[in-house]
Amino acid sequence: MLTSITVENFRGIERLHVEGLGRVNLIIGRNDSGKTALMEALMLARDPRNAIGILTARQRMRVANTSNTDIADFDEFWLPIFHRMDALAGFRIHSTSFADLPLTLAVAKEPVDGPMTIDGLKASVVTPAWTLKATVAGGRHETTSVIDQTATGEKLPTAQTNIPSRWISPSPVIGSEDIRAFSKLKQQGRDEAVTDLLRYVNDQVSGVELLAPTGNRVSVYVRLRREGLVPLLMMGEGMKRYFEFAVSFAATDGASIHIDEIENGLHHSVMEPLWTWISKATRAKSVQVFATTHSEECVQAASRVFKAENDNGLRVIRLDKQEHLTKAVVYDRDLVEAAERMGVEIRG
Amino acid sequence: MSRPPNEKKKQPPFPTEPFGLLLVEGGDEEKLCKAIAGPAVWGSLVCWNARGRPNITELARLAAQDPSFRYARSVGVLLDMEDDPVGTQGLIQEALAALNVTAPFVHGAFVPGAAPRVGVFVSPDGQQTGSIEGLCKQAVRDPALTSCVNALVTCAGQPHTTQARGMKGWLDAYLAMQPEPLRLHQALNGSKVFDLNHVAFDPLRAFLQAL
Repeated sequence: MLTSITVENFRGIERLHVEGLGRVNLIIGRNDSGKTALMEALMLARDPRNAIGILTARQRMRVANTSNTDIADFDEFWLPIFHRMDALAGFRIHSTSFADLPLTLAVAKEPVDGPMTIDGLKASVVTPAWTLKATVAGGRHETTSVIDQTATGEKLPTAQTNIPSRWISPSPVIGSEDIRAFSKLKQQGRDEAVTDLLRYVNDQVSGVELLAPTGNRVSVYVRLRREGLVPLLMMGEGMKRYFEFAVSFAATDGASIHIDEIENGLHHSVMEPLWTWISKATRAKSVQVFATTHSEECVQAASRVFKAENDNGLRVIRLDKQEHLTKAVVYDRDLVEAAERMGVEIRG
Repeated sequence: MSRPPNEKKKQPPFPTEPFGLLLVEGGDEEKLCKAIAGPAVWGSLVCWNARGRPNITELARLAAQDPSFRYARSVGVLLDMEDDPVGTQGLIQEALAALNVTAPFVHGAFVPGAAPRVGVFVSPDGQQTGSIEGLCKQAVRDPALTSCVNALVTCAGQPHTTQARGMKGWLDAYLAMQPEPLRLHQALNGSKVFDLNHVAFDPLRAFLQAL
């Protein structure tokens, strides 16, 4: 479990230090305060040796919403990762955790000096157009991975098969990763956990099925006691998000889950059941959760639930962007509860 | 079960320019400060109300953690001594620690050199047991009614067992005998019941002006 993180020159964050991370971390702050960037940095800190794979996946998700930018186009695809687009300076993420030595991840574009020469002969075919280098240093060990853009295309480093982090963000569709994970849960007979969580939203839910009615695409259906099978996507955003949360938690052990805009699509009446479930599930499965929110109700519901559960694992992290620094204030459960009691606004 | 959104009145946000911060234990203390400070001084202050004496330390901690706390030029804490000088002293030390102040506390004075400057005012005067009711009692406008209430308290056999309770009981009786019975926060809305320029309020007024 991560206990602290320092981020330098990553996306909109010039410098940020957070000390005292908890098992469940709710990140709050104004627009453009760096909430999502911090969550990405935390994901990289959890799995720094797979940094390039994570960055590639995150950038694909980000640019997919706005353009068809190609991974080969360094300036369009990769530059936004770096603060003030300074890829040569690069970014650094330093983290501490209970389980590991302190680790530092440094990612930067390597300067290209021109074609390499072998015995005085130009060998332009091996010259990369650009190279992105990720270095992880911890203790006496240092590992490096690179992604090159060459005449034959990009060469991504080999990704680890077991990626210990999951990212959930508001989306109109159910991702193939979630369908794969749920399918696996079904095969293992562990899908009841998903049904249990969906019952918090609708007590008529008796099961969840994967069906392919047209023979082409597999879709998720919810079995309701009275109505029978109903497509999950017809049951509203809240039910879909609960499904994603449930699958992520059920399919993950000892990992971290990163939820962007956790309150999105959820009525305030289902916030407390969700936090109760997260409190229990994270304790049972040793999962560390990071979530962003703009919702005061969401923060208050979390604080009430963790108090009722006698769970000290909640931290609320408030971000405020200052001139050359993003200031992070970490509130524990009791201080969040005191803020609610006294009407102190902690969201920024 | 889940509750609907919290509709409680919010504490005012901190500005991003220099300001004086006043932390008070309750609504009556806030009303009194507003009444005696005058509009010019009050307008330059941000007042946070702890909504209960036991909350003052957490309120100070929340204030100190606010990113705009760095714009506070000074912080004043107003507490009542009540009947518990030892407990009040402990509460003051906790509040000062929450504000990152380690210097010893002197009633009504601001710790020099600290940023922001921090001061604590313990009503009525930093020495005696009691509360803001003790200051208000001295500033009531009607001497005839004062005599009547004194007589009532004597006749009732001085029922309150402590000085602070006695002050509160006396003032409640006085306010109950107004043409329209009032609570203290209502009586502090105008200058009919209390002489807001009375010398009894001068030390607290000076404390507020120094913020």
